[in-house]
Amino acid sequence: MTRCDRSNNATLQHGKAERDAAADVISHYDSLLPMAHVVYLALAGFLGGAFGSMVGLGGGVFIIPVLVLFLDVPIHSAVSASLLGVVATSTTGSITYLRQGLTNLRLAVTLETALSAGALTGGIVGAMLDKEALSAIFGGLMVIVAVYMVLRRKAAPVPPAEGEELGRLGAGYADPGLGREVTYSVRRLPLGLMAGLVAGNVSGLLGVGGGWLTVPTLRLGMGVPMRAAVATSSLMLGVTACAGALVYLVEGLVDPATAVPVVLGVVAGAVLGSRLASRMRSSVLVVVLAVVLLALAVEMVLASVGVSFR
Amino acid sequence: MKTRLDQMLSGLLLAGLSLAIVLMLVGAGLAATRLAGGMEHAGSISDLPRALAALEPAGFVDLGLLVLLATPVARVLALLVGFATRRAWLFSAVSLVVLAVLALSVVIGVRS
Repeated sequence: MTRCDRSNNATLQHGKAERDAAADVISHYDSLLPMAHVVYLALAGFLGGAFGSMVGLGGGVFIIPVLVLFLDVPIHSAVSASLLGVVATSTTGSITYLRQGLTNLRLAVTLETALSAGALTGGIVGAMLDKEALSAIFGGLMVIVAVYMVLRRKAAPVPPAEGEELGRLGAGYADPGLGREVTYSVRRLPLGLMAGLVAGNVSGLLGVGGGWLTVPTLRLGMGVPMRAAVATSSLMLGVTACAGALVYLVEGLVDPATAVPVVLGVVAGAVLGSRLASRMRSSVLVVVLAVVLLALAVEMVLASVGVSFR
Repeated sequence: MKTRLDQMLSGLLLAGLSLAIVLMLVGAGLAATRLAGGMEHAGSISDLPRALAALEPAGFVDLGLLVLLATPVARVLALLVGFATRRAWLFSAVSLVVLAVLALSVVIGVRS
């Protein structure tokens, strides 16, 4: 070995040591996030969890932009924290909704087949479609859905006729707001399966939860009352987000210093949101959902012209 | 109307979520006191037992996140069993399809 080789080796070893030291320092500072930053992360999770569980969405539509735009969280960490947050919102909200007997389990598991299949094929379809065009189309669709929901917010789903069978998917629950039992049969299942497939697909393509499409479809297209639609959608979202979040976790793309405060905040927010939803009138819930949908629509339309939060 | 299956699933979700939160809080507490290591990953899943035995914060946090993600999967599994015990074979089979698609998407996601 020449003097030059020895010198190069020493330089390389020194460089590697410097890089290792730098990685240690980054890791050290990652683990010592300032307390105020941790509180802001938890607060973002809290608000996302509260609104998400109140209207049957995952909350990712709120969490990702806040983390990326205001808290300087890298996009991969924000998306993985958001996916974990969606699972936490779904789980926390469902605990309350199941106890109140609002969740339609047979309908949820039936639509989950379409949602999970949609999420699975999302990656394949994504390679063939233009994401900007998709964002514009779905953003426009959300505006129409939000406006339609507000206009029809006081129109109750058609109750089953006297003596009419509720069918395999029909169900009922005690509505504290109305002070009576509400029963309903499920109509247009193919429409729900189609919406589930699209929602799951878009969830994989654009990184948003599927609740923005499943709740309006359940409410307006399938005759499911708002409370049951929110509860059933809330349960379904956990499974869709779970697959994506598992991939992030196994690949080591979850930043625990970001994810843990967000998840803890989401849980606290979802407890509050699901309890508030039980006390609100259905027409108020519809307006809250419409506002969230409009916000998401703006975000998607902006993404279609190159202003992306994801 | 609330059924026993609703109550059982609610209990299952509560148990999974509570365990996940406790594990994450223990990990965060250990990281805050700086007893050992930071909040970075424990490494692969096979490293978890070692990280937990060494009281590394990352071990508890990663296990907490895994428990959180396993909870909806356990819920689908419980639905499969719940429907089967009620002889609702159609919905039991539907639950099995959901589990299969979920497993497939994780395998494909990890491989890609």
